[in-house]
Amino acid sequence: MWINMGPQHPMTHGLWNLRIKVDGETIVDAEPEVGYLHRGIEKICENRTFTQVIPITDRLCYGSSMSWSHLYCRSVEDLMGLEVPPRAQYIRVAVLEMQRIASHLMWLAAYAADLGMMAGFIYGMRDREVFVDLLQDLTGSRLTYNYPRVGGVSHDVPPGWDKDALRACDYMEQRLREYEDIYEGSKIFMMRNVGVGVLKRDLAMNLGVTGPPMRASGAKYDLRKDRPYEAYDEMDFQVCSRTEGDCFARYRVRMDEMWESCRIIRQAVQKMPKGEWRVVAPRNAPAGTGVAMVEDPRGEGMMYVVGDGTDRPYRLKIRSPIFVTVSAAPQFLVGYKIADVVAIMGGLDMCIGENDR
Amino acid sequence: MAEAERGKVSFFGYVLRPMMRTGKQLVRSLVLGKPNTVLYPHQKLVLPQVYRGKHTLDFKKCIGCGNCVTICPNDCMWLEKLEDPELGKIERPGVDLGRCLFCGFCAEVCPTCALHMTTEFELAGGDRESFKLGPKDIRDDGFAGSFKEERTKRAVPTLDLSKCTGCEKCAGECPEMCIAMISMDKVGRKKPEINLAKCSSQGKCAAVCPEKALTMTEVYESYFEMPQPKFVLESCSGCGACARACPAEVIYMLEMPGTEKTLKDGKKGKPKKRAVFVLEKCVGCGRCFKVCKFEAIEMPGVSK
Repeated sequence: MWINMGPQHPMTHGLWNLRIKVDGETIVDAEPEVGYLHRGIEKICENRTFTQVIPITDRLCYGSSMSWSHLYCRSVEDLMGLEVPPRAQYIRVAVLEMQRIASHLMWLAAYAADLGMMAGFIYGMRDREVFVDLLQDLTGSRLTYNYPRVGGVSHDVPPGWDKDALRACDYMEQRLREYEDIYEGSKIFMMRNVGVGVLKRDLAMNLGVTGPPMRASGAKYDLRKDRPYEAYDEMDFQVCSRTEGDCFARYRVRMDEMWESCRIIRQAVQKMPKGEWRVVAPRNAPAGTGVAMVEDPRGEGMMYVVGDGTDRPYRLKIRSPIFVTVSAAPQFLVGYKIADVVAIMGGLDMCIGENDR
Repeated sequence: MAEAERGKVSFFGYVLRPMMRTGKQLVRSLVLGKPNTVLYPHQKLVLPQVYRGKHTLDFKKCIGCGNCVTICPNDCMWLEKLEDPELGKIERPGVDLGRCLFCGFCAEVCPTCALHMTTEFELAGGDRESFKLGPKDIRDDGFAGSFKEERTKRAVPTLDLSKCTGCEKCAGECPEMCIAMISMDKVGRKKPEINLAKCSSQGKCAAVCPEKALTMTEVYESYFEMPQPKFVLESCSGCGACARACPAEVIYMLEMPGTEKTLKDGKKGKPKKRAVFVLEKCVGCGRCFKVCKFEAIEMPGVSK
């Protein structure tokens, strides 16, 4: 029997449909359907100037808009051959890690609500507010920041912001201990997570799954370490990985990443050099191609931009990590029960905005 | 820590540990009076200065160039012709908040820092027409500079060609070697051209100029590269439409030697007027290009 989970279902964060074929309670086949949120962003970008595209790439992912507009700016910088000033690189590292924490907290809150734990939802959204406020003080907006620019960032950090950032890290580390008690102290949470939705390492690599689901399967692959961009090569942090490959490992990898993000924010804010934070980008890009890859909170994001000598991109290709991960959904699901679907798919941190583009 | 790493957890451990955490929060918010929310209509959050809310426009600083209209990704701004008792006939931008995405590019690109975004965020309305704010609705002449931090200013040398004699003293004085003397076609003399990317704003060229043709003018630093007009002297008819259209006073008309018509009796007539550009002040709005009927101004990347 085929069951439609979605397009409007509490499990589907965003608008997508998961069709599962069941034999009794056991899942024998699954088929994800995406495309409900298609806005044609790649095509819209073709008739905007390079500057005007930045706010649109913010709208790719509501959970981590900073990392997507940053990725776009990096790809255009690659096309134009621009060098970003060191201060801008450190600011970018700090805001990207704040965005990673905010994104993971939103996932954690939604995951807790999926698994019927309302306290986790409220706590997660409460602490996300700290980082959203911090980003608002810096950029002027709460969700769609429009902060990175081609050749730097739009403006300098306000006075006192660095102290706020350090205080937020201290606060976050206290709260992370609290989460570990609340989540892992809950018998129901552990029963629904441990040993559920196992993805083996070889399978994860063959399917192209990246980000926390891949690192939870035992592969130590993190673009921040393997192909360092911005100032990540000067930061001291570890790649978080587990070997189990189940839902609990994915949860644990994200929690560990939040610890590491706090470490990176501290280093980036304390080491931040003085100087320019932006260079003037040329109006017209040369004919050629530019490509950039970054470690998004959800996996490996890539943008490929083609310039034809005018002030507009000829083509913009977006590689979404979640599009690949959701395509691998049958491998996660087959063999488990219907009740596990919510835990497995919720644990993947779906973001349909970038998936459907 | 995972269950396996922490060892076996008893039933009471599973119940008491989470309860201790949630109980702490309960005491904090109920007894100690530190709630995490605000009672919105009565209490309001303090918004940062950089917050992007409703627009505000300083009529006296605005020059009506329309760069905000050009850069808007959603085409939600337009220029409106107005009759102001103080300022005369002017053009000022209006904004349609129903289509605005609050990216803040209009305020960022403004060459005179006249357009800003306030912290006002309560912008809900009853019908779509109420979102269309004309220039008078967003006018606030005291706002700019009083609340938001302005961009840094930079002094650049600007040339008055009618006084310049082509003595090359400025080029010799420049510490950055950014002034090049280029010869003007058919005129038979040289004029200094300043490379603004290298200029360090020390003002030595203006100080040394014997005719006071070079003066230092303060302009706001811009982070956007705007298109610049290219002038074709042969096609210019000297009508002066571009000089009247220019909002930033970049173009002025000058009698150019070498353009005289030879009269029937062999004498030369009066020299004709030709447009002269002070590109250091140019904001790249493209109005001169749009208004020129003789295709004497080229602007790559701008369509008419």
